[in-house]
Amino acid sequence: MKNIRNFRNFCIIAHIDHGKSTLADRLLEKTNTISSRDMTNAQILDSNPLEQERGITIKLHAIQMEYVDKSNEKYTLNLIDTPGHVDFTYEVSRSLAACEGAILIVDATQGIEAQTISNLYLALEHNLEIIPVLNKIDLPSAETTIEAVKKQIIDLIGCREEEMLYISAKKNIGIDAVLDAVIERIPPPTGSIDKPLTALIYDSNFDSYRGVIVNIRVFEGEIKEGDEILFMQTGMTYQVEEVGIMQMKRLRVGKLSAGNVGYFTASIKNLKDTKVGDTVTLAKNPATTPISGFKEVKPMVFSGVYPASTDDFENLREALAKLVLNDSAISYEPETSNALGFGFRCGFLGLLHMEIVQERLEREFQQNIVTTVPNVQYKIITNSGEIIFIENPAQLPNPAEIREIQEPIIKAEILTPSDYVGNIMKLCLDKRGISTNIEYLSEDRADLSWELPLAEIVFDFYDKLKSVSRGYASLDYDFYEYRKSDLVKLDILLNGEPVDALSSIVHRSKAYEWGKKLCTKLKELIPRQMFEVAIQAAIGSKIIARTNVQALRKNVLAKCYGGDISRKRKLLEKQKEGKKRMKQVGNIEVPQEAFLAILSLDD
Amino acid sequence: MTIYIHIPFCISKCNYCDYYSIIANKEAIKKYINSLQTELIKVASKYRNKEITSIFIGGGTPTSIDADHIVEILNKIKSNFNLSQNCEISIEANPASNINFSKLKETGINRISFGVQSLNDEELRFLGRIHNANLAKETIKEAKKYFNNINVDLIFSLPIQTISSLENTLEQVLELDVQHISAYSLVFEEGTKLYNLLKNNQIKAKDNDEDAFFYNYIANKLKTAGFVHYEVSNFAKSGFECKHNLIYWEHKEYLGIGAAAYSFVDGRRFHNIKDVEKYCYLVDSGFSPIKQTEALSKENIYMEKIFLGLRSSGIDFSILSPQQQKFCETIVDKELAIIQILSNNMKILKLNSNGYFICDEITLKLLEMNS
Repeated sequence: MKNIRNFRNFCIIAHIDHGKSTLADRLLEKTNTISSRDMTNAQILDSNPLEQERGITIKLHAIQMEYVDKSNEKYTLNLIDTPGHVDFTYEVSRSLAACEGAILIVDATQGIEAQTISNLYLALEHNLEIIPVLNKIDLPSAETTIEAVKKQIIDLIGCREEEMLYISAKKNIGIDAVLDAVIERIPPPTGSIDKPLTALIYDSNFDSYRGVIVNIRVFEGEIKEGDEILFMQTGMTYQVEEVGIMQMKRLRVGKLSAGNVGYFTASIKNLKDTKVGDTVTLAKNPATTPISGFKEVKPMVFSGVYPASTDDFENLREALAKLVLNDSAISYEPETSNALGFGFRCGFLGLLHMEIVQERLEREFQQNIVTTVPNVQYKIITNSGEIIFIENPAQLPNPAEIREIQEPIIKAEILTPSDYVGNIMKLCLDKRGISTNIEYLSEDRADLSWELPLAEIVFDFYDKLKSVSRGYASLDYDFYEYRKSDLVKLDILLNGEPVDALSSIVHRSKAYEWGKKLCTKLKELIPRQMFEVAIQAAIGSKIIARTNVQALRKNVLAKCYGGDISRKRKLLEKQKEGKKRMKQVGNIEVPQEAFLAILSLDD
Repeated sequence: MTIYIHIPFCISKCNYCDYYSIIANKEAIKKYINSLQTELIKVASKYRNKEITSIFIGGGTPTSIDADHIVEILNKIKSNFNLSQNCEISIEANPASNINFSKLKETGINRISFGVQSLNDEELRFLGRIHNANLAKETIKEAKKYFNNINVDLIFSLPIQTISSLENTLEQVLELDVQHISAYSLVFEEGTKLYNLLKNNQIKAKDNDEDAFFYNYIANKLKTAGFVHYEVSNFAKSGFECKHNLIYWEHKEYLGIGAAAYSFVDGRRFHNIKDVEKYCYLVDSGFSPIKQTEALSKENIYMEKIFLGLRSSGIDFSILSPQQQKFCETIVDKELAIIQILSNNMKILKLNSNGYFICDEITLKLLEMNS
């Protein structure tokens, strides 16, 4: 029986490329969890190729290590990974809630960066013990920057200089000191094996043989195979089948007690039944209160996802069903579009989540898909007082029947170096924002609070914020309320026919400008074809902008090539391949990018 | 079936040309002609029962070699194949003062095709032609004494060409009163001098709209002058459509003899090795000079029938699905094509001049509906 005093649960907070994964790999080696011989080039924690490419973690991972310190005392270390993007703030907060401490790793040549700060603040909110670590001290350029970086960290977390560790994860310098600090500074878990079971679900994933694998941190009591458990938020009960810990592979250990981190299975078929943040307790001897901080994760951004070829609808349905097994944050409902045929309206946590899902559908499930412009969920109050929510602009009732349209407003926290405050205020005003507070955290760092329509955020706000602040500002947001707004539906007509998949809901003050820009953008994207294509933007029956794509005048390989017909045929086949990514809307060929044209209106 | 004879020799290489042709001495030419006859005799036995409706001697510049060689070859064909009554026998020629027209006529040639390209001297220099406009006109006038079926090849959309220089060329060609005109839009083929100039931004290609404008100009002008636009690039006085040319588009058989010659026989497309020396070596040692053979699949044949038909005499409605037929009606509405009912009640979709210039686009549409 391990003593609860010998557990340490922690995570690593870092900016991309500051060395989080390299440090994690070194810890795994030092604790003999993995031998350096087994290391591949890819880092252990980023196991999804998409994650490796984008340098972000999408799904959470955790790993248990055994460490014997200088006094020959044996410790169990649980390293819990955190995803690194604004769309997943809630997931980050839950994995932080499973820890008692965090290693803050900062590149000694770069200094602390925006992305790190919001996670660091979350960690401080959870009262985690922070171990500041300066990485890459072996680089010659670190000599000139290190003093400034030290000062930054001291300003930010109020630590003493002596508390900082200096390492090079790449060169394997200073790693022992990190492990010792984890043991010495991070408090051991508190909790009693005798109390009723209280465990936090910080992540779950789906295994086709065992059903849902639920990753938990046990705070009180004990969970063992055969227990009948209760999920306190959903009220569902299950019989536990397998309990184990994560090392390089899952290791079945039969039970987990207070202070430990691991997983269990219970023949749970649906990932949606295991909500991140839910509390697991025993059905027969339940805890009195669930762990605080639970939130129902709701999709915030919606988009149509259609098969590029109408024949592939069933394949897409199967692919989505499988994807949802691994990502319960996605919602999907079948819908039809006159332009795109049968498809699905999918809900995502945010834009990045949407991109990831689309990319996974294409790469892992080989689906050739067309996606529509993302939008938010609008609340419509009709003349008869009925309230309806719509997730697709095409569903907007006739304006004559609408008393008011409300849109979701978020509260945004933007942390930025003071130099960029002006730029950011301008950006937020442009996005119909209302400033509610400005606080200077230090002389060169400001915390801006804004209320912003979510619809303005989902397009390109994050990229713009990064660009006006040279990448330094960070964003965190949360749903606030639905608010009445003067919104109109902007339709796009091709040769006089409205194309529902190109409709969007926009603020009246921006409709004209958008209509014009959208027409121009579509003109660039829609290739010339046999017949002229008229592009119009309309609000109701009123045309507010128009342009046209001239008819194609030439596409022929006229030369005879002395009877070499095969060559002509092959050239035509090549053209035919090129046309495959076009969607047929009536008689018009529309490239798939056109359905996302709004996203790149400012380019 | 028709026969194509390839004579890959030229006096010099033009700036736009990527066909296989070489500049050779008399010895090498003689050797090649001998090998070509060997191949001819060897394959003849296979096709003895097929009637030959046309012969086309192309190049290179067939008239750049001794006319006696042409006589030899035609004699070999006549004695080894079964020629039809009114077999069309064409030869390609470039303007020159030393062409032995009487000998060519005597040996049975009844159609002559001149590579004129332009009747503007500056444009001819740009293309790297070795004749000027005047020599071209004089050569054709001389040829008219012997032949009543003459073609003039033109190239348009040259970077330095203007509508007025094009008009000027066309008017001079019309004055010559020939029976057939082929007009090709300039293509910058990789490896040619013009391609390199284009790549180094020393010249600027006409864009597709300008190109289409030039093309339409030619089509209208020739139509007014009484020519029928019977294929993307070909115009003829009624009854003078080139039989050999139509064979390619009507998906009919042709047998190519000589280096780099292409064939389509018995559902297979094949072509001979390009290099003249290798060709001679293979043939002389008793091997086949065929470099590659492609047996056409059902899909290949369907695709060819569509794209070849669209660019010439039209496609038979009966091979189209209802959806494709409906689409054909749309393009008729948009004045890109007409629907013809033939005397045997066959319904044909035939493109007009506007349709011809986007015929690959129309082909792709039709094919897409089928897949």
